[in-house]
Amino acid sequence: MNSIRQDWFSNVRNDLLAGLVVALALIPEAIAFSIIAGVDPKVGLYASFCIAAVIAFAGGRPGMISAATGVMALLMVTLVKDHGLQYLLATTILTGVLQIFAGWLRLGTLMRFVGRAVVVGFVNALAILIFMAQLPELTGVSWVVYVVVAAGLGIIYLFPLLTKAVPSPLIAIVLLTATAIVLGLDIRTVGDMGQLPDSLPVFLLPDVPLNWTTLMIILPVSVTLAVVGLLESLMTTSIVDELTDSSSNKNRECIGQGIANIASGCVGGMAGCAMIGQSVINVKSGGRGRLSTLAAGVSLLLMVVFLGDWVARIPMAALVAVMIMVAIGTFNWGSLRDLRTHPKSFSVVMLSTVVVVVATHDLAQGVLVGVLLSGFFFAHKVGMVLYVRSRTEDEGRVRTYKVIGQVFFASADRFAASFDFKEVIDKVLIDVSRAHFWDVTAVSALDKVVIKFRREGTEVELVGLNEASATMVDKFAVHDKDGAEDMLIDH
Amino acid sequence: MNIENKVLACVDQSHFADYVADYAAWAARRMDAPLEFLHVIDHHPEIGSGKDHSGAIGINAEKNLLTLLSTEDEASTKAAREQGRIFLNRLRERAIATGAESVDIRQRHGELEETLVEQESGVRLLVLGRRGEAAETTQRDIGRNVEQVVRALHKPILAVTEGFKEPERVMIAFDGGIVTRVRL
Repeated sequence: MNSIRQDWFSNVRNDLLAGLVVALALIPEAIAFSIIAGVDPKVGLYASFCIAAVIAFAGGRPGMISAATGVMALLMVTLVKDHGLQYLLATTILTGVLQIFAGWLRLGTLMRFVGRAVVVGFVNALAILIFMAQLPELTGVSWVVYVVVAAGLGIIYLFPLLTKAVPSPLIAIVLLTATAIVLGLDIRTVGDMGQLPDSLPVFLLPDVPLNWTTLMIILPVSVTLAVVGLLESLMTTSIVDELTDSSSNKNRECIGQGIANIASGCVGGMAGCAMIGQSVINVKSGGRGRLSTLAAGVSLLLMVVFLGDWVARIPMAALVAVMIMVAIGTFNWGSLRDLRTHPKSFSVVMLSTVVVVVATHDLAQGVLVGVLLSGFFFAHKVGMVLYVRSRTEDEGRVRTYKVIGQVFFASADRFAASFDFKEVIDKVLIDVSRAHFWDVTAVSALDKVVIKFRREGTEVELVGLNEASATMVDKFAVHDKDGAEDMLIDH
Repeated sequence: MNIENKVLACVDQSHFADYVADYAAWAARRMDAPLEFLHVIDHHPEIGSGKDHSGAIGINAEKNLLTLLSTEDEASTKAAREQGRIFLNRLRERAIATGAESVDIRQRHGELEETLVEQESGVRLLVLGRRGEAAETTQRDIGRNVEQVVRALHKPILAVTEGFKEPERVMIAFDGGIVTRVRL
């Protein structure tokens, strides 16, 4: 009871105000993202309302804003183009189901493999994609559009110097819309882009045939959407955790995202996820509780339904200005400065994530590449921790090799190359008691070394192999038992 | 000093604090136990401070916001800490003046209930006001915190009211159950 009161009603006034600010900032974004996905603005607006309202109850992170997002929109483009809106709605529902499944399997913990470099790359790539998605609105248009965009950006960034009581993106949109109407500017408006909502959303199941062909069409897209949605949501969760100095329930968030997407698909909305920019705006405006998220969703819907005629007259150029602000705000500018000071491996992982995402327009692939690369770099680094020293004993008849460090797939070759097989000697003693043999590759490398020595007619004795191979955790499974850390340190 | 058997007096900055101090000093004197004053500073991440409704996210918005919020938190925590320290020291003087011998003070961050559960093992008697800071303005007879603490702890608790008067008689609530029989 206490936590319900704390989550919902401990910050009512600030939550309601912040929710309103977020709703005002969400409207242009929801419209812009629908246009990116190639659907009517109402799809994004219904989705934003529905996801925000549902996640307020089902989410694991109070105060975080989820709605229709650019990341998700970019992944739907081809599907919408080839198969149409109904398939998108079915995909959205399936995405939700997959996300609930992921939350139930506690896959949120896999986030620990996504390192800082990949996260920074993801965020930067996201910002670049949002910016690139605005380019079609800016190419082959009259100079008036550029003036409007520039004026919009000017108002957005300069108005807060005057007062921070009113959202500056809203001021920009209102002023630019009014100017466009008064001067009768001939530029594209939101109304030209498709249908706006004229009623409250209604429950509808997607009109698709329920068969194998449909599943094969929607499953690949759903998997990518589910993965990317959870990635961005969990990343945003930790950002909000950090900002508000409080903790959240990651698995509940996964399940909540799933429920929200299912609900969105059922009222004719597209899939969405948590939004970094909007969550920052919410926290900045004082929103902390679940009420702020709910307020954002509900006020968005009310404004859109009752002001629909006016929303239709917003010039697209004003929206472009807002989206450029979002892109600039999302980009991690500090990471550019840090390129010089951070380790090269960090920069390579970050930049490859960005490049792959921008090239494929798929954040999931970028993250995969980033995670794999960080794995390689880490393996390489740890593989360097291997020393083999040797000295002769017994008047030159015996040579003792002492192996210290980590032997596994990345260092097995270096390990094998550290022995002098050409040496003419009676006996070789290999002391591996202070080495760790992590995998089969390491053990077979040792086997090869022994065989090679024997071929030269050298007698081989191994010391401490049992301790060394105790770290082959898959086989012996000692890593999670008591005393495993002693075994690692002792020898 | 036998820290395992201390009298722990929980105080907040309400007018009950003085009476809690008086009773706790009396109990410590009678039980010949060390006395410790505990002041828990609440941390409220669920309450936002929103002055900026600009809705604009500029360059490095996230980092700037994090810096801003942590600086604000730092300042308010420092102020609360200093205020609490002065307040606790005043109570300590008061307890020493009434004859308590070993008096210590301690400030903790967090929630009252969980802090007390952590500290429970070393406590012989817990003294707290029947109502606290939060109940100053309401009509409750027993503060919300008191109820939670009584439910959560397994140590003797002395909940005090306004005005200090040395206890003379003891009344035991007896329902004939096993637990109360053992206690008798």
